[in-house]
Amino acid sequence: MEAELEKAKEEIRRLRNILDVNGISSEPVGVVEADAAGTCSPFNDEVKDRWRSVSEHGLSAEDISRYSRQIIMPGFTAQGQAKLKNASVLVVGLGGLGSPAALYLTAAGIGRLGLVDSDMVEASNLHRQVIHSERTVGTPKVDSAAAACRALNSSITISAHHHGLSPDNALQLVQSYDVVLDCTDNPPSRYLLNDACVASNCPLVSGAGIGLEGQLAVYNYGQESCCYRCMFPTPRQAGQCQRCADAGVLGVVPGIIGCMQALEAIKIITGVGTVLTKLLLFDASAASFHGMKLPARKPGCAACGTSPTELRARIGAMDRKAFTAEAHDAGPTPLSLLASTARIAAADLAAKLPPAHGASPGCSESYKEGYVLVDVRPPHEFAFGSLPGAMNLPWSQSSWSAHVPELLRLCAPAEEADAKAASRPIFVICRRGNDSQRAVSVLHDAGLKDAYDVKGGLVAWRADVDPEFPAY
Amino acid sequence: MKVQVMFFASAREVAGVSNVELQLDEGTDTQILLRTLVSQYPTLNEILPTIVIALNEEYLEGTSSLKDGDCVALIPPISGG
Ligand SMILES: [Zn+2]
Repeated sequence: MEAELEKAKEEIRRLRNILDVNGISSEPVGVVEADAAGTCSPFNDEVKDRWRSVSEHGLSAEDISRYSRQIIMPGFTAQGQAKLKNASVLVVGLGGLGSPAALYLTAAGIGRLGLVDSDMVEASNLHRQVIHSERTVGTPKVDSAAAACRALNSSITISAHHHGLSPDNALQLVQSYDVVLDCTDNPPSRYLLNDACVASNCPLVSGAGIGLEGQLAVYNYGQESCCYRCMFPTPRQAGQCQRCADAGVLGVVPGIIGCMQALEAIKIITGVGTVLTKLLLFDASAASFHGMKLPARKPGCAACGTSPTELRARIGAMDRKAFTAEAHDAGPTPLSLLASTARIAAADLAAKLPPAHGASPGCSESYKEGYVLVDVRPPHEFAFGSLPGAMNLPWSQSSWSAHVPELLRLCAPAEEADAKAASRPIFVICRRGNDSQRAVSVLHDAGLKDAYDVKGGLVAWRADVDPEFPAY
Repeated sequence: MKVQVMFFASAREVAGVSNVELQLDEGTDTQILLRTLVSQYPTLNEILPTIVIALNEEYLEGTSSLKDGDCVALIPPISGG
């Protein structure tokens, strides 16, 4: 620690000396103001010389003034600012990561900023996607983001790419930028962007955030640096995906990672500091960072293990369906585990339920109505809102079968001799209709054949029956 | 020997804890450790193919022997943004 501090101090002394030798004041603002005001000081010639040496970097007086607080940093200087001005960054994904990343790059004075996203702004984005606003809900994210960036800094060039990232445009997009930021929210986009960066020899600053955790790494930076595929060669299987829409995310978490993506991009462009060579793991719950040194490039890697020419050819031939199926789907792939006879449409279930005003929400006495309604969502989601009379038995692969005896009892209570009561159907519902099918399979296996899954879950309920049911 | 195991992202969800300290027999390597963890948290098996293992903050390729005080981290990729 102390040695590092001493090293840093030595570096500052060295850079100060360089500045002095180059005749660049460590307070360029003052210099510019003196020049702009045209003051006839005895040092006028010297001032002009200084100004000239700065202007060689192509910065205007406005630039110097505007970015003065970072230019005066000894390690940054006017050269650093000029490098930013001449550089371009592509931000793919304008969500929780891309929002702060795009704003900070804009604020820092990046010369050209590319924005990619095909989604529209939704109200549920606003808690973390801070580049958008209530006013822009329902409009394309790229337009919303571009307007926010222009309002922040009118001097930079902004290219809004409306069509999103696809195997058709990935290479072309990536090729025209110096650094790419992966701010996407799905594995297919992450692999595609990685491959395009490897094929284009472009550094990739990759960020991710979910729940209370974030990850950050710089891939494909220089000849030694591994790529995303080297690191994670095996994509997750469908159903294991963790999206913000499904797993939840505290807005600040991707915000922090997005800021760090902007930071690493600035470091790559300006040469300030040392670019990250680890996979950085942010644990927001413990307020801690952990790191893992990145591996070397893997000779057998499907991306960086082949020649760029070969890779370019392959990106075009990528399985588009696999890509789009997960990339643009709002949730996990719908399962069909059950026969259609074991499934019921939301509207048909509605016809069987008592009128909503007649039942007290949350009571678990639906069996009195001649059926059993089971909601298998996690308790915190159940608390958002539930159907009248539904009982909450959260789905769990390993332990849900423990509920079978209780459900058997509810379907055919021993104390009731009523024959009608002996054959109560069980309706199982969840958010989107996957876990409910898994639960119904368990019931079928246990001999409860009169069990049905509500197709499409509460999402379908909201769409087809009750638009007032909370969307989340 | 004592070895610390850290869980991240979906591995943390599966294990229900962020880290555990395990008392292991001498000679236990990372492969045996992973097998032990899977028997303790069976759902871990489903996500294991995607998980990156770090040993003392270094990427682990293949299997490595373990010594007292080692720290093993299970790091699944996350994709949210
Ligand atoms: Zn690779």
